Amino acid sequence: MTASCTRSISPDAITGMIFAMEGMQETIVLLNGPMGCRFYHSSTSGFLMRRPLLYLPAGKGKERVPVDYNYLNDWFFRQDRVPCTYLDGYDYVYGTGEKVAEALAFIREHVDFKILAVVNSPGAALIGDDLYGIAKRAMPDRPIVYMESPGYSVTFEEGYSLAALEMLKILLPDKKEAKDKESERRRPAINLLGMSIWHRYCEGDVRELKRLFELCGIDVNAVLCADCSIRELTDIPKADLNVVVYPKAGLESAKYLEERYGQPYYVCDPLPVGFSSTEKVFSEICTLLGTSEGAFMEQSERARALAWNKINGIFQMYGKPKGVTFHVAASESLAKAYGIFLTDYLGMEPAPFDVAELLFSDANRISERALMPDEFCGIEISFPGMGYTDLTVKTHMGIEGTLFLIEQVLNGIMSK
Amino acid sequence: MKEFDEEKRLELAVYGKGGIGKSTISANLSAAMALNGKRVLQIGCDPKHDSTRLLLYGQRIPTVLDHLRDIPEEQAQVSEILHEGFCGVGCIEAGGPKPGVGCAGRGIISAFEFLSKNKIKKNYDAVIYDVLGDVVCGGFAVPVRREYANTVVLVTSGEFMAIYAANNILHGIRNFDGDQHQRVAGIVYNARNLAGEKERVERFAKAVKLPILACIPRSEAFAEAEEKNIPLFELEGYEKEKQIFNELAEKLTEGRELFPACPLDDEKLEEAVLGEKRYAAGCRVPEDKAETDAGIAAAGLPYFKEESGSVLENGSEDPHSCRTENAAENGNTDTAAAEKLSVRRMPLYGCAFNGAAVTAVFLTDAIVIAHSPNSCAFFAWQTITSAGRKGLFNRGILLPSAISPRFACTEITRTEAVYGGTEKLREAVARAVAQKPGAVIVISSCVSGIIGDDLLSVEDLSTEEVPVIAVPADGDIAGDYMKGIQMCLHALAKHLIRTDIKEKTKSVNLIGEVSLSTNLETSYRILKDLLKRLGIAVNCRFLGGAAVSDVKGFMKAPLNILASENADNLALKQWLTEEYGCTFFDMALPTGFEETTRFTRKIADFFGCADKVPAILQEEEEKYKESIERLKPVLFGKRLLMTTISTGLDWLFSAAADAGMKVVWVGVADYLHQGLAVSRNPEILNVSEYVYDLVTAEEKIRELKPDIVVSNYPSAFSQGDYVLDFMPMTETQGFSSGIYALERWAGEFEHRRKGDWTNDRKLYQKYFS
Repeated sequence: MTASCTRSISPDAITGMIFAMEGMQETIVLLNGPMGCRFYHSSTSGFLMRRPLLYLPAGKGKERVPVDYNYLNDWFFRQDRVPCTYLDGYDYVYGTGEKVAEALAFIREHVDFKILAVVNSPGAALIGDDLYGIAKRAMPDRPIVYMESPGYSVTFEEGYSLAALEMLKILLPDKKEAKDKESERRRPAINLLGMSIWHRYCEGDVRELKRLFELCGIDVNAVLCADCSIRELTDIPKADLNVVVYPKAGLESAKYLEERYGQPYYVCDPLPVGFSSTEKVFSEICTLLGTSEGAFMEQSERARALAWNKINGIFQMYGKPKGVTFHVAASESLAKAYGIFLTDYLGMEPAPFDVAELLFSDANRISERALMPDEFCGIEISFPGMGYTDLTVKTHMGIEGTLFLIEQVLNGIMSK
Repeated sequence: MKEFDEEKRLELAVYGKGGIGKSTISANLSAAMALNGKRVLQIGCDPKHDSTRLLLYGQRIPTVLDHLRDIPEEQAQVSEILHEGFCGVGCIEAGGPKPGVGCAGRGIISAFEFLSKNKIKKNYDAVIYDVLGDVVCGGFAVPVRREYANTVVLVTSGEFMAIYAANNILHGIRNFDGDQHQRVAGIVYNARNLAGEKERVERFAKAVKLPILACIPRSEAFAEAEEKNIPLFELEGYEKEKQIFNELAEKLTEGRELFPACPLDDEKLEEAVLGEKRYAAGCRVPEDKAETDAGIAAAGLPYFKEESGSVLENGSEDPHSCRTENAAENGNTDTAAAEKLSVRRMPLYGCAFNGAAVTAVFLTDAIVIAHSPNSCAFFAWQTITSAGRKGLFNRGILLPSAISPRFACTEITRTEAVYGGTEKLREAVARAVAQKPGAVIVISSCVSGIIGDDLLSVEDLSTEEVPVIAVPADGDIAGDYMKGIQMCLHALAKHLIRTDIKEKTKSVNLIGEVSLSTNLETSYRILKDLLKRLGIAVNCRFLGGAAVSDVKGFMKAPLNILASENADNLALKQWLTEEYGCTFFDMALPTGFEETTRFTRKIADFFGCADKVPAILQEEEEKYKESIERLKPVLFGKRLLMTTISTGLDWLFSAAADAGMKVVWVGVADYLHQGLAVSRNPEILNVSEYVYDLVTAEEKIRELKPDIVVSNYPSAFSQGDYVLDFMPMTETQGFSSGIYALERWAGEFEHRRKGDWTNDRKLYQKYFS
């Protein structure tokens, strides 16, 4: 079975918005809401990103000085991500403006940043304060991305999509710069859209995709909202193509960029997970941009050869992975990509959640399955995670990702 | 149709007290502009959705919010809500909920988001927003935000309350614009033929430095048009009235002059409009009316010109002068009450919704329903399952209630946020009751609290077998995380505990276990085993994992034991004692050897089984001594410095002393107002209040040179020539609590490697900055 499951409660649009904006460097995301809405975002963002330290606003000729966290008790509550206005019942009655203004004054004084993002919590969004007006008065000299309505029970991807789009609208120049001679000589360039720091192996996915595009003679200008710098963001209009990795999160941005700058876009369908899907995506993009896929295909063939050797060894001994049952409980795009790979390439069989031998999901679903009698092996493909501390950068995308996934599957089969 | 230049488009918000005639004026103004060749869109922003009735000849059209409620937004069609009326005027009604339910302000926000997303205004030269009379919340102020209305007119009669409402709207505009913008065109005076009303409007106009743009006389024309459901311009005759609207339309579209909002405070308003002051005691002190009139005349301001009925000229006085004249008032009028409450209230850590949710799931056979958007339920779900995942991954412990809680969410959407969500909640509760769980517990979030859903009403869905229990936490409106725990426990007790049980068993209730502690189950197993050795059963864990039947049988236990004596548990103890006459043991669940020894003796005395105690204590003492002797060679003489939010740490200090350690300083943070009583031992003298002031702690470290620093937040300390250890928030209970800590410390000393990694902070700064 590869259908999404709804039993586990998933994050919704406010989390998508916050993590989209947390995926921009030099950005402070202020949550205008109660502390109860904040903790998950601040701790998770800190955990997901190899973040730079927060610095004091730069003085002339001075070295950058890290913020002393003792002074971040106000609004930050001693965590370095996602400060909040800790709204309470009175604020819903009398308005949140004063708190937002006070928080911004504090942040301005104590932290160095370039972009301000402000997000209303679901409760704060009901009372209709003029979030942008308040923020602009407090921070007239910086771009402000504001999300007045966090969405009510709409998906993570929808929230991400809205926030990413808003960032493009506010932060990019009105018109595309005319190509200079240097840019006319350069290699084709793309942007990656729809990727989020909240994806299980985001850093590794980005690294692997960039590596493979490099093999194809294609530069990656920006990976929007996935540890994207301001410089990279401003290079977005210069790209020749936008590659939408996760359609539900990135398609609206691609359409907007097409309308505003005339940039075409390509949608990955399915995600580049597994050899065939990866080859399809890269081959099609190379064709669109007129570059050679030769080096990429050679690597893919070598990886296929390596994988064959290991899979064949196990198949000879145990007749696996053919026929091993699996279940993918994840978002639609993940379920489709993993499902194709596991059935078409490894010859495995889809099965219901409670009996599958391999379960591909988040740690909540994997834990839930552990309460059931049949033995199984759980493989994390989305958050929340079980608690494994990753130091090496891992991915399930591209060639390296496919090898890692096969590695997990083979070990998972044998551990059962 | 070509797109209109947004800069040039008139976007006019028509504000005024309810019933003052805004819709009539808006519709006739739209009609006048349309007849003059403008492409006009009128948007009714009142939930009663009758703004465009005259333009549509009485036809009722689907509102934006009704349309969005009925179908998914991605399928919503502009053609369903945009209708063409008189002379091609585009007509839209935002709509809203019935009176008394949902959140009409949120409705306006949602409707405007839809209109913006679909770029509906792009084909019009002029947009007229007919806005609800009283700007009672931010939602109703949406049209006046700068991204929408660039021009505002105030409609008022000469009645004081109408003028008061107009002044309030100026306050609202002032809040948005400050000193930076000018977008009030002026006042439209809708005459009621009351004595002295013209003078009152004139005085108000003068005081707020606005022109009176038009005077709409009381006329049969409007009554006739209303009766026939047509705009004024469809009537025969009434040329004077039509002329007024034509002139008003021209003033607002051609070279209109705009002014800043200069509202008055209440006292000045009364003084200006009524010509008298009203004092706090309620007495009126009339002023000389002649003097007031003379003042107006002396100012020489032609604010009112009688010819043409009511159309006025601008005053000669610089309208910007309100910055100096009314600046102080404007600065102070943002709402005095808000300033008094101000922003420096104590932060609420977490929210009552979350506290209640993570408590309720420990009623193991209940279904818990979060009446909230998905986000709130997800945060609670994460809090609950995080402990479950850690337990499974780190220790291989399966905690079903923390891994797969019976927890559902009503998934409040924008529709419920606007129209109210009680109906959806009732449907969810009915479905849950049909599954026949032990109970259904319903908890409200901020959103359901703000829109005023009637949470308690779902309790009438209870059946004989399945009680439905409402916990109106309203997110953090009821309070913080701990408040939510308390609310949940009180609600469960009131609904479930059977007070008719008289027969007691040899058992105890455990009260107030920390539900999310990762060592909750370890501690419970240790203490359950100790009690079992004494022949005592655990009747009910209130609430660390109990079935509904356990709570119902709560009164079977003759003795109740607090898990710990924190402020919230003590409050719970008091409440249970007062409400149910519960007998409480005079000790909490014990931590460490001495406390557990006392606990064992006392509880054995209570239940008359003291004969079993000596054997238990002898066995435990031998184990303890053996452990201390094993640890002594490593820990003897070591100097301990600690920063902590925990109190009652004698179990730790005595174990440390038994191993020959010396406590050199303890800094206690007042985390949850728990007091600073870390030790009853007079030898532990060097205890200070510690307010997350790491500077003090670092100074103490330099001064006292400890061998080991223990803290709840060890990562806050820089590395030094000492062992740094983590102090858990809740230590495992029983005879061996101190031993567990000492074993951890000894391990640190035995394998004391500072590790070269600690030198690489500068590299982190270098590569990740």
